Amino acid sequence: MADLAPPPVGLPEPATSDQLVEFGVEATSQWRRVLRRFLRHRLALASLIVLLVLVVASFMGGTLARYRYDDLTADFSTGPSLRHWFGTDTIGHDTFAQVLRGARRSLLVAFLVAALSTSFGALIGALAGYYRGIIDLILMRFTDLFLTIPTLAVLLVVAARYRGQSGNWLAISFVIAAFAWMPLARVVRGIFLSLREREFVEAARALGANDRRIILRHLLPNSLGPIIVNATLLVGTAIVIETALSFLGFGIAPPDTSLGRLVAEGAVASRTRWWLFYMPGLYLVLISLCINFVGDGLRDAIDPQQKRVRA
Amino acid sequence: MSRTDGALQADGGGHPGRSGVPGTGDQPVLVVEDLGVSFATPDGPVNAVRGVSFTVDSEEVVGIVGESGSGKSVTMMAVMGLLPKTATVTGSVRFRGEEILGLSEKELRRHRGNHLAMVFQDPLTSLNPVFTVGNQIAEAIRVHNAMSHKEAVERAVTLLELVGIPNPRQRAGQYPHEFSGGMRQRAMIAMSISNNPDVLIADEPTTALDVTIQAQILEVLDRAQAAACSAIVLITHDLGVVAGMADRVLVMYAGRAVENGSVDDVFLHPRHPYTLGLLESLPRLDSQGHERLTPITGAPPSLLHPPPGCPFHPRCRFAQPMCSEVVPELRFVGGLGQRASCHYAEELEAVETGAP
Repeated sequence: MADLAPPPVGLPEPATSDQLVEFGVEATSQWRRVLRRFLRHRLALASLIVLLVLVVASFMGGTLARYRYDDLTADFSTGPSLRHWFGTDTIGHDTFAQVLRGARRSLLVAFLVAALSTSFGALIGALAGYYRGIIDLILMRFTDLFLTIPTLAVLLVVAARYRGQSGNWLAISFVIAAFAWMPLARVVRGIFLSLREREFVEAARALGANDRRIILRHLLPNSLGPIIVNATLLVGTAIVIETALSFLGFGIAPPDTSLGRLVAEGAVASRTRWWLFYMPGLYLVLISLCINFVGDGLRDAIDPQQKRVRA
Repeated sequence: MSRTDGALQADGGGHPGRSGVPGTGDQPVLVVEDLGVSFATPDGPVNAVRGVSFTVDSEEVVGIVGESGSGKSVTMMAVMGLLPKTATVTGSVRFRGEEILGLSEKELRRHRGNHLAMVFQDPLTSLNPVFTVGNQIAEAIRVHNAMSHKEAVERAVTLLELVGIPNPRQRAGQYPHEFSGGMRQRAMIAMSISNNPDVLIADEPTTALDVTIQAQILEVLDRAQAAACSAIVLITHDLGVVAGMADRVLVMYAGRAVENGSVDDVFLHPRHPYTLGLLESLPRLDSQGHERLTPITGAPPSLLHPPPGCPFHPRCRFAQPMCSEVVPELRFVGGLGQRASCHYAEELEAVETGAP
């Protein structure tokens, strides 16, 4: 971790390889261990690979797929074939191209939601756990308040304001994020409450570190594991919430599209042209399943207490 | 120092150069006057420290001894301003003439690490597990100095070398869990002297360590002190450590300073029955027969309801009726600057330490 410059004069030379063997001191960072444990978790690893493929495909879709999302082909309402993997709709749009485009928007929303709510939740939790007392009380009651609000109802009301406005995906993301940060805030608060009593915090204070330094440099890095796991799982949750909103017609507005919208549009035809409904649906399920498995794998890898890896 | 030779040898020898002459000349670095600390509890206030006064001269080693709960650590935590808000601190703590008790957190931070630094008892829990040791020391340096991370890491490596860590460059890139206990404490010491503090407070620095490592750590402390030109306040319950390291010693009992003086005076001519009892409960290597050790009977008093008069009188074998009524003052007795809080301090002269 420490990038070491060549030794200044007066210091002994860096240890030779003999000495290294003698002390067995090849620096193994905590994160390298986590990586090793994660790589041993087969399901999570496989999920990660599938997820990467899906994400890359979604973002590079335009260049990878045979058709662009707005290409009108001569094949109307054909089922999945080698030519059109996911079939086509009534006016000849290639569903695969549509799904890729929808997935890109869905993933963007999901990542944004995860980033926003994780940082906000971590901030609230960190402040509450570190300062305790009145600050903790206020922040946690604020969190409780958000937890008691029936999320979907409020989402619908708020999203209705942005209904049908093109380019509303940013607004949608903020709205979803506003209702997704609470669990992490509670988790981070708990971690901070226990960490702040540890001696290294006192030692840091005894060395003159201020609150900001203690929170950012000492406590936050120590709670990074749960935060990362939570953020990963949030991506999965956010995709599902976005889909639900879009399905109900309050989500991403046309001409923009998302997986949720595709599913909603295909639902009408789920009996006759099943591919219009199931293909985006399966794509969605696959993404969120993979994310959840990756999250599980990360949790197992980060938590050293858990010796047996669930597979 | 015959009394403590046994313990001394276990600790790998004393310091020939420093023979208990109290710091001389210039103004003391740290002056603690009439320090009181009380904690509010549901059962009433607990007076953990009551009227403790002492001074620390520059580059002097002061040992604070006492059993668990005697207020040693609380005293020094109060000096550092590290006590929780539930503690009420009274009295005065002056660092180089400046009153630091009651300073705001912000003002205190200017002193912490820079002027007053602390080495904690358990080096594993005192190091942040997710940072490499080098980074942590660099971090401590950068709190008080404007320098690049790279420079700070370089200095950290130099410090690690100073405290006797082999392969300091490699070691700096390792995490605390890859260090052994003794190594961790060395790293802790390196971190605490990283800003050349004027006073280094070592809170039982060897308690969590293997006995064989203790001597090395004390030696490292000594070297660190020389390098940083700091005074050391050594909190311990190990009289041997005090005898080996300290110039002066403060004996605490039930939150009070019961005896204070140069190590030689206090150990050779204790003027307080508690000090005497402590010394008598130590095994000695030079004893011929199979003498039994003399324990101090009873248990330390509850700080919630301290006994009236001298806090030690319920356990004191010399106790007189007066002891349970009047609180003895810490007053000058016997040798050079030696002070004890016992009504009958002079009579203790007759009881030589060798003869129980």
